[in-house]
Amino acid sequence: MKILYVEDDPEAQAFVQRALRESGFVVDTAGDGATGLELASAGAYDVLILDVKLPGLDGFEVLRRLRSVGNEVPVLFLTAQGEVGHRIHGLELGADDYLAKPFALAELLARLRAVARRHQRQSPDGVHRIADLVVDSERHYVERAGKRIALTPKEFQLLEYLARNAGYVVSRSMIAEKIWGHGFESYSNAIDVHVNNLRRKLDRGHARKLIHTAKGLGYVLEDRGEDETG
Amino acid sequence: MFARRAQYRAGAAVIFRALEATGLRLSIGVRWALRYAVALAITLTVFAGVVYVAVSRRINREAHLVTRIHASELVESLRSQSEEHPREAVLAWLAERIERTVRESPPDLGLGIQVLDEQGAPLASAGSLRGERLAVPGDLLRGERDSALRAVNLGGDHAHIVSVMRAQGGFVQVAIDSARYAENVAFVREVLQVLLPITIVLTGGLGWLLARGSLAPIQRINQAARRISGANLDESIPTSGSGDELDQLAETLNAMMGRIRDGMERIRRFNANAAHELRTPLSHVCGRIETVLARPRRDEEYRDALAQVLAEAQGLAVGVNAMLRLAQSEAGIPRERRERVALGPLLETLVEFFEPLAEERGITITGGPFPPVAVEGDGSWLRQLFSNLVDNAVKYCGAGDRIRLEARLEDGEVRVRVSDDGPGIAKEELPEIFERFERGARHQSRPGFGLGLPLAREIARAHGGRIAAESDPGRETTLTVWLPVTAAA
Repeated sequence: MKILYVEDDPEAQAFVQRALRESGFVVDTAGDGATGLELASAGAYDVLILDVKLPGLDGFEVLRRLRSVGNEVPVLFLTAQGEVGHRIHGLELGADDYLAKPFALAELLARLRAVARRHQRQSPDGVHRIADLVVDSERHYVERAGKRIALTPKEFQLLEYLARNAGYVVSRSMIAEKIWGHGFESYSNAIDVHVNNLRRKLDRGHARKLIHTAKGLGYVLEDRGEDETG
Repeated sequence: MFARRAQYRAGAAVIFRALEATGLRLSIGVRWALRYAVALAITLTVFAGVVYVAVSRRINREAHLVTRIHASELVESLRSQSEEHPREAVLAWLAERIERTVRESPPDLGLGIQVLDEQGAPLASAGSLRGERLAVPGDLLRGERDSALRAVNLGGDHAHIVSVMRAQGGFVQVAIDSARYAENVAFVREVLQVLLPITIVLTGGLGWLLARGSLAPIQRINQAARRISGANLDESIPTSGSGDELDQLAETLNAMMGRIRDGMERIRRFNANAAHELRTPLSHVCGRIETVLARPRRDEEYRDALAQVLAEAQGLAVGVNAMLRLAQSEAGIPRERRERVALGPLLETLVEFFEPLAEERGITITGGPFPPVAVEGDGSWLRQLFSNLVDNAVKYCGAGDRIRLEARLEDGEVRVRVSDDGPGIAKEELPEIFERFERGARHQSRPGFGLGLPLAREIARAHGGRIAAESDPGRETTLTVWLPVTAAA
């Protein structure tokens, strides 16, 4: 996967670039908005990471110009903590996600993958199948090994979110944002309980566990065979 | 009159501007004095004009009266003489009589007397009218009137005032020189001309002294306020104790200074507490790194140490973020970021969100149904506000405790109560729970920066609302938030 990372802080640029490369991404970098815009317009990138505060053109402006010429590359914004206005403004301009600094690298990686997948992960009939699990978004129906599982609406939303990102880690704050809205991110313990409840309904009595914990980050729904304990 | 005043005002404005243009900055005292002087000049000029007109008219009337008295005396004498004596004798007496009258009158009066026959031909004359031929006005000759008054120039600087009066068998004319009266009028005018500017200048000066006197306390306040800086905020502006407007001003400034002092004190405490809160985990991080680096270790030891350091640093980041959010909420919500937030669904989501966590700890959360109201503000902040309250309750409750969420509409506000029957908050800790880092005894063993409730308070304030806590330890503890309602959702 090819990423363009536009960031004016050389130190941040250095370690994020290194982390991204070590995680298997191909990374180009730019130190200011104009260069970033030029590279983004010329090259075919899977995701753009844009810092909001950039010398010259700021991140918003780069995004606006890209979208105005029909460039729909997925964009993830980086901004100073808690700039509520920034988040809303960025999303209005057509950004795909938003991450406040300081962030955990694992969080950035998880969101990056989610953003990159956004355009290709729609299953045509709205039905997700992971091992013997079937999640039907249209009919709000879940079954495991042919047996129906009753879920609360929130549990269903959570499962559907995990299923849409099956095989990839979603962070606790991503779950909080998507299922409950902004403002709940700091209560990771509550999110753990929600996931555990879902896990009980889904995995209890099955040798093959599907919901797994990604230590220090979040959860992943995938089929890892039978000897995984989760 | 008003046009005139407007002219004066315009003139005064021109003078002020000219003075300002010279680079001279006029103090309030000087400006007040100048204004007084201008106002006084206008009123005094009007006053003096009225006085002058009234006095001069009065003096002229007196001059007329003198001529008429002389004339009517003569007319009366002529009548009585004519009844008793033949015409020749009367004429002889008359000549002698007018000569005597003129002789006895003050010479500067310029008295002249003339007696004329029915056709207006002089019979006898004396004084200033000797040899003069003053025609009797036609309407008197025709008998339409009995007397007339006019001014006639007989040579000399001033006109003569002449009274003509019908008498027995003819007319009487009495003239006096108006010079003496004109002098009186001129004197009045001169007095006024001298007095007017002197009075204006004097009043201006006095006005300046008065203004300076009444502005002196302001000057004092000014100097005191200038002395007070960040370093000596404890000083206050002295008051005279009279309770007048200036004392009130001084008290207002003192109160303002008090609030600044309190604010500075809060900031100082916050900074000290923040530094303290950050120092502990920072020293842990440094200590761990130093220990690990002290000698060569196995790979997994490095990995473990780094993982621990990362956890510490992430905790630090959480704390710093909380502080930042607090600072931001204090700055308020920008108008363009305000939206209608339906409170009912928000609170329902909140209950759903915390229910499993509470259940796991044996705590029951109940809430709703909530009234359909909307609040204007930022949805993510409002979620943060209420989740901080519920999270706080979940933290301090134990198995078997109940948490209840209620919302009610009252007087254009929505009142949201988060109550629990957990251990509660001691009375002496209640006022402190909304202060930053002021974690009470019940907080000490808990992790976190103790910024949840302060942040909740700031968010409530940023939405034009307020927050309060009450606790009956062991029975019921309630945190109540009031928010202004925009409309039914």
